[in-house]
Amino acid sequence: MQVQTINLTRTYPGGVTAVHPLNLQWPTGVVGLLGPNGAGKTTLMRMLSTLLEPSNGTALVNGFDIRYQKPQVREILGYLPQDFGLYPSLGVAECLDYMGLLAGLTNRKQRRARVEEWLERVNLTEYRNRKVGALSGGMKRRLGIAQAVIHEPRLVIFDEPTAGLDPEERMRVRNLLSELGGDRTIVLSTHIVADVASTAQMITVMSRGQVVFHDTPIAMLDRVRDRSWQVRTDDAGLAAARERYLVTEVQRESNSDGAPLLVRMVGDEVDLPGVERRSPSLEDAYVWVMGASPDTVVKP
Amino acid sequence: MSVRSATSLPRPSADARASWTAQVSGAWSRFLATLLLEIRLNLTTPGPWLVGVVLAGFGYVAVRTAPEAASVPLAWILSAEIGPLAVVLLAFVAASFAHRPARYEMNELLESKRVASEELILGRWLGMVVGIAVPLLLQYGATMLAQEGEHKSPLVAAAYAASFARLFPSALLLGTLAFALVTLTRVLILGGGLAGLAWFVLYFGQSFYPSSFRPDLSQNATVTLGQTATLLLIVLTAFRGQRRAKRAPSAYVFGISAGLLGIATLLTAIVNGQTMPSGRTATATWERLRDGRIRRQDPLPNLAWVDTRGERVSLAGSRGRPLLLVLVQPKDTGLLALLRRLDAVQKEFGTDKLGVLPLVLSEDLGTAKLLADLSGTALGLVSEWGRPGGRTFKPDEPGSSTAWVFGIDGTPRAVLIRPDGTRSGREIRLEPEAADDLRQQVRRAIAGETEEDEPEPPANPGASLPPGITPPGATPPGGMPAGNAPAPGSGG
Repeated sequence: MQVQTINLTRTYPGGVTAVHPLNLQWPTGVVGLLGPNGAGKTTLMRMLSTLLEPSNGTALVNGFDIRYQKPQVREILGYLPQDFGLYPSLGVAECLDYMGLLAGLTNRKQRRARVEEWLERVNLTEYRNRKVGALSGGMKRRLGIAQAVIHEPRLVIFDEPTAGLDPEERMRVRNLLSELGGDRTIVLSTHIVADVASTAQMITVMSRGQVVFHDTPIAMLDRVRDRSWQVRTDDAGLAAARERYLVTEVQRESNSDGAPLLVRMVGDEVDLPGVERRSPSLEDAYVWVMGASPDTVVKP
Repeated sequence: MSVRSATSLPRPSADARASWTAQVSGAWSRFLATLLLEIRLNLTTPGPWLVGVVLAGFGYVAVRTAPEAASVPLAWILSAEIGPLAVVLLAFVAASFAHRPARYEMNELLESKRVASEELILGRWLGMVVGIAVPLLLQYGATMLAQEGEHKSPLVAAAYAASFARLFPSALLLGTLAFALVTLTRVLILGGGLAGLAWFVLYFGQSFYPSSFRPDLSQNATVTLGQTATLLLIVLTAFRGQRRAKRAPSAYVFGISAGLLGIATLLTAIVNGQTMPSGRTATATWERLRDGRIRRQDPLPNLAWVDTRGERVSLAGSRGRPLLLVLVQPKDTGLLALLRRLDAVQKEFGTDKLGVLPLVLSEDLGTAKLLADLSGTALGLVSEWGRPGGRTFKPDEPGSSTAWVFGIDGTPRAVLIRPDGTRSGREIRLEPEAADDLRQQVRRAIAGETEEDEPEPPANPGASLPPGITPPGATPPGGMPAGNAPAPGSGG
């Protein structure tokens, strides 16, 4: 299973190009799709899920062309939108059963077996008769994941699957996503770099319709190896750091006299008093990659 | 990675496509599942049951207050008098069925599942149809039970079934409109409000548009159902148009079908408007007759009506034998019994010696056939547009022109017409206890005896009428020539 885009382009009627000619390959496993709002992530996902017609080029999903083989692509596609409603007055199991039918599982026996299997996998078996409207946010999200994959799609697209979840549920969902990625391609579109860090085998970063990074998480971390720094400073020092470097994180520590701020930043060389190297994080790498994108002014 | 332009990519082979049969089977399963789910969701909300209880209450009140708690008039009251209220309530119920809170939003489903918008829309629409049928069935069931329980009168289920069939197309049209508006706008207040406005225009603006578009008339059922189907196709087209299959052949098929069906429905309505009796044709007849100066001893104008097959039946066709013309309305007391008594009179004297013609005065032209079927008589019932208004005829609210000719303002009433086409002046009583008197008058008419006429109407009975209107039979001279008779399509 793999996804391959070939000069995939989308230009809206107003002339705005949301996705510039895109050539990339996603293998089996979890792929993190990162980028700020307006980067073109949603447009790319909608094209891959055949909801949006490319202006030019195409993509092959497991060998099926998204322009000419839509039914086949839809058959092997699972999609979890960011906001999804489900049926609040239905029970968990019957809701999943209906979703399975809509997803193409017309054989009742097979569908019921899948429902049981996925209720087990998303840890909702004991809530099978509870009304969907009575589930917590995390349970609903897990049910959403189950309905997206109940028909065993080869490509699954998750749009912000952990948004709004508490840390425990977020961890549970991340683990679930990691399990799912075994023999299929999972595209995880998110703003939360930590989600990608813990699950993705491949990361694609988009900015203004273009791919600015496409490689493994380790390769992404390598970009900021020896470029990650931290310094204790005050508000004036923070302002100075912001002027010259890409600041990734600021922590205020109440018991630090005179220098209450712990500022982390990325840069080739950092010339600040008391600065020290630190081990790079994927968030550092993301900021660095975004800062290095052609449309962003790279700070010295 | 090799890069090729999209245009050079190979098109899929036929083998790569899913089989047509499997697709249809899958679509059918999804449609059925959606339908069953919608029925369940709709009927587990309080809306339809509350409206059903309200309508059932109205039905019970109708039984308690009707002059005669018999099936035919009660069924008529349910569809013709309570019907408009039921329709608007059901439209709001239909709007609530299309509203999101209890459902997965349609676009989200379409984006996340391999389901076609038609499968969802048709399933949801049929679920809505079931959801609005239930309150109506509750109403009819409660009314029937009340009739049986309170009055012990024989239950004529066919009368209620016909009443339901008369009312349901209009409920379906308004319900579909509300459903379509809420589905497309996704705003309950907007969709429900617009549907309510459409109901207001349809029921309170009836004098401002052709009667062939009135959804409350059974003769317009084809047009009403055509409008409903057109609306449904428009919704399907709209969803196809905004979804991924925007340029798919099916989107064009739905669009073109909606257009063609809309045009066909419009043409049907126009043709019906030209050929069926209506307020316009009743007014035209009245305008032709109002200047005719008819004395009592002069032949009557050649009035004409439509029979249950929609064919023309004229007064002139009955010349040469006496004709008992009986004007009735669907809500009349003891109507079926009256028709059976008239049938007995007809059989007693034979059709060659006496004609008996029940004339059903109603804007609903399907009523005559229903009464013929329910009474089980061999009488050939005919219909005329409008209710009796006596010697007053309002062109802006046209009633029966025949009733106007005879100055009849209530039903059931009978007129005995002599073989020469003149009217017998004696009052004809239709009550069971006056059967002998009726037979005696018929015998005299057959024998050609001239009975003593009732006194002439007042010298100037038209004083209370609009200027230029002269009540027939009041002033001489000359009868209206038969050639001046209006065609059935022109309301005659």
